[in-house]
Amino acid sequence: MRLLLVEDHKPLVRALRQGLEEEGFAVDLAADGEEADHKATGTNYDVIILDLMLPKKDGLTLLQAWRSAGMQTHIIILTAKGSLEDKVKGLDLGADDYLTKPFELDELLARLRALIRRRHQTKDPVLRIHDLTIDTSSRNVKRGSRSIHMTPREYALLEFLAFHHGKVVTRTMIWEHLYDEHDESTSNVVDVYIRYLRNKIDKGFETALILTRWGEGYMLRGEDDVEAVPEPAPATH
Amino acid sequence: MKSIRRVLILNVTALLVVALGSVAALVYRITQDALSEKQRSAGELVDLQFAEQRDEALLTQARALAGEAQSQFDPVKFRQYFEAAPFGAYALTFGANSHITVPLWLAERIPGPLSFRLNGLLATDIKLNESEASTHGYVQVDSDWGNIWRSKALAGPNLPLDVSQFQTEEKFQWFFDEIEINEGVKARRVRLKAPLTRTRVLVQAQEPQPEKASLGVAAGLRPDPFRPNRYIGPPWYYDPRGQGPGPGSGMSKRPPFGIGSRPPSPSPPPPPLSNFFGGNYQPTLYIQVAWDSTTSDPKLLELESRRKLQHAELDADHERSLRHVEKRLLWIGLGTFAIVVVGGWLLVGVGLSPLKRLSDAVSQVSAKDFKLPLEPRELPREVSPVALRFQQTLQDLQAAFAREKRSSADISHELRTPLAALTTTLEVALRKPRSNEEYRQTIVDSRQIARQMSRLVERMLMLAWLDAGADVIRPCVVEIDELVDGCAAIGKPLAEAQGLKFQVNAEHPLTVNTDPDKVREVVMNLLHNAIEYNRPGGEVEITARSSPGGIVLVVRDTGIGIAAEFQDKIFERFYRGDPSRNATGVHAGLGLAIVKEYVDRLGGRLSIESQLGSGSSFRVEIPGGTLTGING
Repeated sequence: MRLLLVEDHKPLVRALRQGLEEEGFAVDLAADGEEADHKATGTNYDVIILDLMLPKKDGLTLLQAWRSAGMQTHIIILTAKGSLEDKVKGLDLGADDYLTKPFELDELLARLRALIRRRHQTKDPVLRIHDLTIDTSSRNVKRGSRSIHMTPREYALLEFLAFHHGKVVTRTMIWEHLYDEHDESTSNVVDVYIRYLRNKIDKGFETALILTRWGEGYMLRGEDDVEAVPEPAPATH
Repeated sequence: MKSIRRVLILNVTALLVVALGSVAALVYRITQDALSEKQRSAGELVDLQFAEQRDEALLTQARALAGEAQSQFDPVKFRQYFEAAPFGAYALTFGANSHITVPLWLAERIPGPLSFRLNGLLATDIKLNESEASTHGYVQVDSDWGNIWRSKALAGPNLPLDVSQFQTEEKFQWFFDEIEINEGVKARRVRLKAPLTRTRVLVQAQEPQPEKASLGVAAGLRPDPFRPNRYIGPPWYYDPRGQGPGPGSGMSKRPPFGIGSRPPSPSPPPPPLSNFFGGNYQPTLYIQVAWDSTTSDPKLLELESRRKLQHAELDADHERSLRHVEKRLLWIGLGTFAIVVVGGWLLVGVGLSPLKRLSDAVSQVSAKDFKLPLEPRELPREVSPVALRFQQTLQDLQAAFAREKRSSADISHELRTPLAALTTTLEVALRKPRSNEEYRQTIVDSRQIARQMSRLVERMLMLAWLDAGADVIRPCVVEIDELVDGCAAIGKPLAEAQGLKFQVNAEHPLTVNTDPDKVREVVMNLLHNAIEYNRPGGEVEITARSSPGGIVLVVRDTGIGIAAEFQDKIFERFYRGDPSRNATGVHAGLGLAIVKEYVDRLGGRLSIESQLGSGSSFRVEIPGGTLTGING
């Protein structure tokens, strides 16, 4: 998932970026209002974390402008302004969530996950596709009864595919949502990670869940695709 | 609790009681005087009326007596001669004096003035019935031919009579006076002059007839049986129709004497009288009637009693009027009292209503809402200043509250962001095992954040310290040039680290009597500010020089500048030219607030010249006078 972190307090940015990236998020940074506006309108982020007191352009002004321009991105306000009026005002201007500083990193992460679930119209934090189970809160992945360990980036890719299961996901989409602005764009990095995933998920199972649509991209097998391929024997849950 | 209304009403009531009492007493006194005056004059009028009526009664009696007197000429003597006339001639031979009867006889035989005169002179007498005439007083009848009749009551001397008092031309005339009759008996007297208009033949005195006597007609008056139509009297009263005087017709012949009526002028009028023996002699009677106070005349008694009655009535009337006035005054007083008390209560209520509105409005003021629910201009002049002042105070309080609230919000905000950074840094580090290098970095980051926070807290405490008045100025002779050099030594590396040019222009030597710590704090804060808000590649310049009043320090930067409308706000706490600029957390809008506080404490002046986009220049003037230790 790709986030935009709009925050001008450098030590906080540094710590937060590290924390988020270690959770598998791709994090873009904006240190002032203008930069934030530029990046938010140019990229389709999954979530924007927005501070309110920003140089050059105020956070609430940005929020109002984005919402009136029709931007659908989920926005969580992260600010030191903790009064009730500020919260009400922020939410009323179109923010999806509001978190005051100082905050617990876990809470921020949970709220981010909730926003992402909402973005994909699902309420259950556990994604189940065939015999694959992805617990988005604990980030545990199981295939059948077998627990699978994944790196943050592998997990992020799998989660992204799982949220779009049954649909084709292009390489560009994957690139856009899993890599931040600083990552080097190499043509086969997505393919490399798909291969890693296949090794961990499909290897040893009869039914391959990660399918390749030549010329288009990849997809995680949807429920409709069951009869097309033979069912794996032990479909335990 | 005291009530203004009650106090006012009580005082007004007391005042009213005094005023009403005085007015009522005055009015009562005046009315009493007027009533007494009225009673006195009414009494006088009654007395006057009494005197007049008494005099009238006296006169009436005098007139009645006059009428009676003239009816009682007594020609009897003469008639005797008349009856003896045939023997007169004979008698002539016997008596030397018997010839006297001859002219009398002739006189009676020939009616006319001569006969009348002779009758009057020789044969008349005045005879009045004593019991009729003088029951209730003293009566004396004089005639101008010398006959006098006196009532028995007049035992003493004659009542004096001065005939010359009367006008000869007037037929009827009367005078009233007071007279002393004898032994100090005072009496009211009337003297009446009345003409004798006729005589009548008295045949003989008969038994008096009571009903006629009361009319004052001579008792026993009878017409002459031999000459029933014979008239004897002044020829100017002779009736040619031969109607002789009779008991009935005689009344009409007599001049109508009576109370209040004058005798009608006879026609033809009598010729003027010359003297007793002249051609037109008019015999005259003078009747005097006197009443003393003991007189038991019924008329007088009636008058007296009526007078007493009237006086009693007047007294009663007077008393009644006084009671009436008293009652009126009482009611008026009570009514006025009631009206003033009730009206005063209401009026005072009306008068106090603005105060009540004000107090109601004040009681609705709360710390949440500093609005006074009242428009002070709508209040009366006496109260509106209070309300205006209160409103002003409320506004000031509200502003102070808002400032305080904002200030605490600012403080919390300034602390929250670095705190969030600190916790996040630590949490991230703890999420998984890390290398030593990573831990070290975490610690370095945390220390940096903690330092920023501690500096912030220090500044806030410093301001609180200043606010609490706990700060003390410790003046001494300060070498400003050295102080500025010391500050520059710290500021220069910082500036150059940001790629700024740093310049120092200090006059040497430059000394002033002030608190060096405060000045150093001021300079350092201004330098930090100039470095922090500068543009890359800009410059910072500090100038120190003497001035007529002390010294002047100028710190100039080439930063973003401050718009004119914000120039007076930048010294407020937590104010920043860029509202969102909290990245460093160090200055946090407190530096300039501290500078201002210190400059104020040092008795100096802080001003700013700035142009947006081209930089600012902060100017501090510090007086060089004898600055003594000042607390706070």
